[in-house]
Amino acid sequence: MNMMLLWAQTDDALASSLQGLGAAPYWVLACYLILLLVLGIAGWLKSHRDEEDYYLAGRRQGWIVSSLTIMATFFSSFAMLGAPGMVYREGVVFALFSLNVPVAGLCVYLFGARIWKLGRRFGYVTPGDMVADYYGSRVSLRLLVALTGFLYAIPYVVMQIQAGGLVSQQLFGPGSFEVGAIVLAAITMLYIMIGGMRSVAWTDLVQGLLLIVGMLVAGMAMILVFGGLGEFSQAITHDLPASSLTAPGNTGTWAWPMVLSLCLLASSGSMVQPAQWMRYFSADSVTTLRRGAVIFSLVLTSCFLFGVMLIGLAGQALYPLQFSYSVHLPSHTAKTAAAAVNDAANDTNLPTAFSVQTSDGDDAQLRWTWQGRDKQPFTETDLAAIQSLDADAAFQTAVQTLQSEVQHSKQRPAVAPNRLVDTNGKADYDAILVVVLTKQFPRVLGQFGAIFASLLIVAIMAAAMSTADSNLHALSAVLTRDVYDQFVRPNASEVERVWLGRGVIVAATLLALSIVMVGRRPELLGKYDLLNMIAKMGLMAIAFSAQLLPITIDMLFLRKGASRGAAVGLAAGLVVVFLFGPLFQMFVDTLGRPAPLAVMLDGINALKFTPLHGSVWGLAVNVPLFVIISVLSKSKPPPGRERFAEVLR
Amino acid sequence: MPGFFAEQPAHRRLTYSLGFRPNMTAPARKKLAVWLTVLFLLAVFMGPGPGMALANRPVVWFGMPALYIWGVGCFFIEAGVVLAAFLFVWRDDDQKTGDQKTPTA
Repeated sequence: MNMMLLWAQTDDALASSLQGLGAAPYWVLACYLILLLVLGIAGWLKSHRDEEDYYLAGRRQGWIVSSLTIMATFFSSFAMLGAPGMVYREGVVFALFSLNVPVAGLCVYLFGARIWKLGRRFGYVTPGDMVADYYGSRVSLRLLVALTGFLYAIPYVVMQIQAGGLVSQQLFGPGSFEVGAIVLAAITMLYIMIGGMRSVAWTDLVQGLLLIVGMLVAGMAMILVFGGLGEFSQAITHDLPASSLTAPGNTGTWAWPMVLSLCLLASSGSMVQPAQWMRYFSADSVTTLRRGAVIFSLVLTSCFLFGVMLIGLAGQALYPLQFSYSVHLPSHTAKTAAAAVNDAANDTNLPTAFSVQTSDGDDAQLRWTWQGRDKQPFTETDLAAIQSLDADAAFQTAVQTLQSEVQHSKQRPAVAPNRLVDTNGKADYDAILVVVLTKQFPRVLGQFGAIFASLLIVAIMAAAMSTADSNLHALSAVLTRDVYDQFVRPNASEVERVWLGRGVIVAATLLALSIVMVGRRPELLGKYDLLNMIAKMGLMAIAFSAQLLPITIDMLFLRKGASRGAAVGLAAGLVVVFLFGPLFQMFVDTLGRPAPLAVMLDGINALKFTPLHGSVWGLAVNVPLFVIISVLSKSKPPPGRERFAEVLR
Repeated sequence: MPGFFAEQPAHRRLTYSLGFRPNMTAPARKKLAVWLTVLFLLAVFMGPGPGMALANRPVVWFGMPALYIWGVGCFFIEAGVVLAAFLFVWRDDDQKTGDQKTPTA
């Protein structure tokens, strides 16, 4: 294992990672992108130019295409980059997140079969069509469902474009993030616009296969990198700190309430988002969805558990995390202390774990850092050596406080990725998969390693594009049918609506691309996990879509709710997810933390007595409001109650 | 019987070959559905739920972290439940709704 660490630590050429892979990735990537465009054109040639064909492929998708497009829509850069990144940061506890996949698979059948029957019977195209028809709510619920779709789709597209940039940056150097992001966005946009749902589904078929193979190959290749299962297992179990092997993980976030709420609600929430809903409509039969549910549950979970999750764990052994405790050093002594530490750089008595980090202002942080499980004790000898650097009283006190923190603190140490993974110094945990496959696979596996790495690079792109295309396509349907067609130009022709849908795809892509670019600005980069970590962005988006669960369950199974209760519950749920999620924090910071909002933010943070997924906070308000208002509501029952009951009997 | 066998879809032929008889009566299917639901919820509760405390130690089981093996075990239970539901509980009732369409709101 020491050899592995040596490889990792002597490797300082991450920016030119392609050297290890040769020209293979260029060729594979080029072929893949051309294939996508060919499938886009083929979809266009086969289309009938009407709206139902553009959005639902004529409701004739067979089980292979349906299964793979549902899987590819579910699998995003979250799966390929975000999940290994999160396992790299938190440890094995995040691997348990894989258990959300069988729950999602069950939803494909339990929700999907019923949604399919209703869609086939009443000709629905979007979730808003069904909700508005059932509750008889032409305005409020239709708009709220469209808003939920928007709040889900845009962050998800942002994540995928980010992934394109990240892969590009790791492959072609630090300046190529923007180029990668733009190329991914442009090609995805192009083939959806050309061929609609048929092109999206066909490209998802190819991308889904690539993903399954890529994820499983990633896990197997990782074991080969270590020289076999025994060596791999030894590295994982011996080189990782205890906090990486247990819950709640390295940052203390992943206690069981958080993991459980994610597994139950994130999975079901992501299966009622508009893109999946439209996939249920476009299947040719219930049998198709039934088969899709089984394939989804068994194959996808295996890809996670035995594939990419192993990359995150092995990444910690290859590129150990940096743990640290810090104390603040006031400005009047910060520069002197930093200079003294610099002068004493060659002093063998000075512990290597100690450093002074100066910040933008004149203040500084005294820091005690260690890697992985090699925590260095802060001895009295170390204390004397450090204190001899500067006689200033504030410095002496700060060093003593730091020693006390290291020895006795009940707080968890701060965590940061290894500098070889985090090339831009902005907590880029998501880069772990690309770093491992570009630096370790070719080195250990030779030509096969280069082929594996090329395949995985394409799989990452496939994960990102297959989710981006589905969400852009669904968003275009939602905004065209639920907003434009209902409120702007109800008499628009089908051709006009299809062209407007294409315009929506361009606008949404540009919006997502702009968010990615703004998030890369130096003052924001590294400040918010939401902008840096793909998994964080994905979890926030799912919290919004999970607010559709009460309405979905009511329509498909219970049929007890009333229109007003559904609308108030959904609106309240969305507001709570916004307030309890990372967006409100960013919003308050952007406004300069004005007093009323800062007090509100503090109050909300105080209410979070335990780490739970944002969807739980939203549903905790959404469901009671839905139930209470429905019970108290004296309005007549939803107009769709009898009709839905008859179809679903 | 050979004719009947040949008419069945592939997964039905497989279950018949293994000795299972998926053409259960409705009450038997319902009973099985209840048991499978309980088993699935138990696996979710014990895997990512509070049950993870039983394996939440930095120890090694079968050469891997205990928590990982615990998760894999729960996955096998969940996968078994989904497979059993697919073979014995979920029905092919596709054509019940027909293809009629009525205008939407």
